[in-house]
Amino acid sequence: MSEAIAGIGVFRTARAGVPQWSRRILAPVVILCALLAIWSIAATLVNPSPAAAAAGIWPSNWWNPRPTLPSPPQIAVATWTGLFGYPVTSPRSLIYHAAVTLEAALAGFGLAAVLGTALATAIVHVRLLDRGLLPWVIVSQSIPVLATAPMVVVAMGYMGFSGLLPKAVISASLAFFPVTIGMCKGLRSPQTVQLDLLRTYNASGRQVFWALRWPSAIPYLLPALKIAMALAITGAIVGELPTGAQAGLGARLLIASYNGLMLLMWATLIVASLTAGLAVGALALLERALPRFRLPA
Amino acid sequence: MPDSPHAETLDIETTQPREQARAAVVSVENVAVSYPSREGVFHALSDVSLRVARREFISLIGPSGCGKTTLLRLIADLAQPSTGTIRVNGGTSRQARGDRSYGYVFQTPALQPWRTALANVMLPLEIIGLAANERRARATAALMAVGLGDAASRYPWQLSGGMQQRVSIARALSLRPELLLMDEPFGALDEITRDKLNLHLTDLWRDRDLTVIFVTHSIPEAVFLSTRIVAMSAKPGRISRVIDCGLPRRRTLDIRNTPEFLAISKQVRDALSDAYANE
Ligand SMILES: Nc1ncnc2c1ncn2[C@@H]1O[C@H](COP(=O)(O)OP(=O)(O)OP(=O)(O)O)[C@@H](O)[C@H]1O
Ligand SMILES: [Mg+2]
Repeated sequence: MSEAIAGIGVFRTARAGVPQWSRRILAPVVILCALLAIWSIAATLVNPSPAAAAAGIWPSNWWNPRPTLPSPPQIAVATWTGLFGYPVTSPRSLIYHAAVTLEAALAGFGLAAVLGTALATAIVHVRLLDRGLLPWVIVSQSIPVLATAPMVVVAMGYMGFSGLLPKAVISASLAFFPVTIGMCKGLRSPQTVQLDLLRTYNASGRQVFWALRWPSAIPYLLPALKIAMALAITGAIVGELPTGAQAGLGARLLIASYNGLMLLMWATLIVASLTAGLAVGALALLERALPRFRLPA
Repeated sequence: MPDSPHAETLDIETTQPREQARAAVVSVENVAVSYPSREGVFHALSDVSLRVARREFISLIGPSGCGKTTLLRLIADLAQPSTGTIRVNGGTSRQARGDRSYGYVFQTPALQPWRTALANVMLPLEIIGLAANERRARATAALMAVGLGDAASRYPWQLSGGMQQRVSIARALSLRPELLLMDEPFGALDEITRDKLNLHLTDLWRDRDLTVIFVTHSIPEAVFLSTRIVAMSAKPGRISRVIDCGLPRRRTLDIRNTPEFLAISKQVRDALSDAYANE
């Protein structure tokens, strides 16, 4: 009897699990396949096919050495070669360039996390800053980085800083924004009754911050950090464009675009998004490790 | 005769010793609270006076919006009166809050979801800067006092509503205040749980010589717990009647079937009907 019931339990959870699984995995896969199909057709139509056609390779324009629109398998091969075809210390290795970019991005991310939190703390505690500073924080994000990045590089170059630091600063200038906004919201999230409670203990402002505001803000901080991480990587790549840098995914993109190397460009882009995905994924794992701090669903 | 030490000891069980009766724990004098509103001024409280002696258990009862919470918040220095004075332990309410001389139990448990029951009870002890081992010992004792010794390591979402409210009472007790301000602490609970917690509370009050000011909407609860019941009415919020409750300090639930209990209940009910009739 009890076995039968247990059996039913297993059966039901298994059945309930299938549609859940398929919805999460199948739908994105179908979309991806559709995209790849459209892409493949476009690659067939767009690319010129000189030599390969003569050699009888089909579909000939998928393997054009200088394609206008590289085909999916061609990009896959180029990405693979870029990642694993060279030793990681070689300037042709995309891992090498990704590491250079990631280093600057992590530095910028750290800077942004500290700066964003500090700004939010100031904004929440000083009413004047709420009116005076927050509007500028928002305006700062409407200025295109592409315009400010060269200025930062040149200005910091005059001050004797080059390499990692200007890139980190550019990266942080993008990434601090979600942290500031998220932390402002999080630090203000405690309910009145929670604040009143601490008031009955005659708690100081500092105690209210550490015992209530800060832990209340953690559920807002973690998603903000994930957005900040993605922005930090974008920022680091943009920061590599005007430096004439020899290393980094941005430098690689610049070289590829100057020389019309579409394949290298696509491969670099894919490595950039893989890097961002890994970094954001690492933060998501951290969030999982702190279940108590997740927002109530 | 009151000068003999023997008479004094006997006195404690029945009435207040003279000196303590004179120095009220809480004294509210001609207090008014008004808020600006669209139709001019809204009087949340008007000309309220109340003196609470040591070891009294006062219940505030009255229709919604009559200013019960407002009055409690004034005593706790969470709000300020528009006019009138409030004294707590002979000083201002600000000083009393500074000395952490009261424990406040809110209408909702207001537990921190990232802290366990024990850690929640330790919160005020952290604020006053108690050493870690002392904190733990005192918080554990406070949890035991509300019958939650075995739930110490559970998180708020793992506790029932009644247990959460008991944790919040333990949190208020952990500072060992002599004055307890409680705002409808059992409002959201079922009758049986409420009875249990009422028994707990009356024991704590008697055993620890607490002074309690307690807000409730329940007449039996007020009569069971109180030494005095303050009936209030709304618009403007004011005290409409004060009913003495001469039941013995040691109480069990069966007291509710005694004629005295029923007579006091009727008095409170009449006072409340008048208050509601004014609406
Ligand atoms: N900050 C405020 N501004 C304006 N009006 C207020 C404010 N605080 C309280 N009031 C008003 O004062 C009145 C008394 O409120 P209070 O919370 O003390 O009532 P209560 O007796 O506790 O009611 P309940 O039994 O529903 O809890 C209410 O009508 C309320 O709207
Ligand atoms: Mg109320």
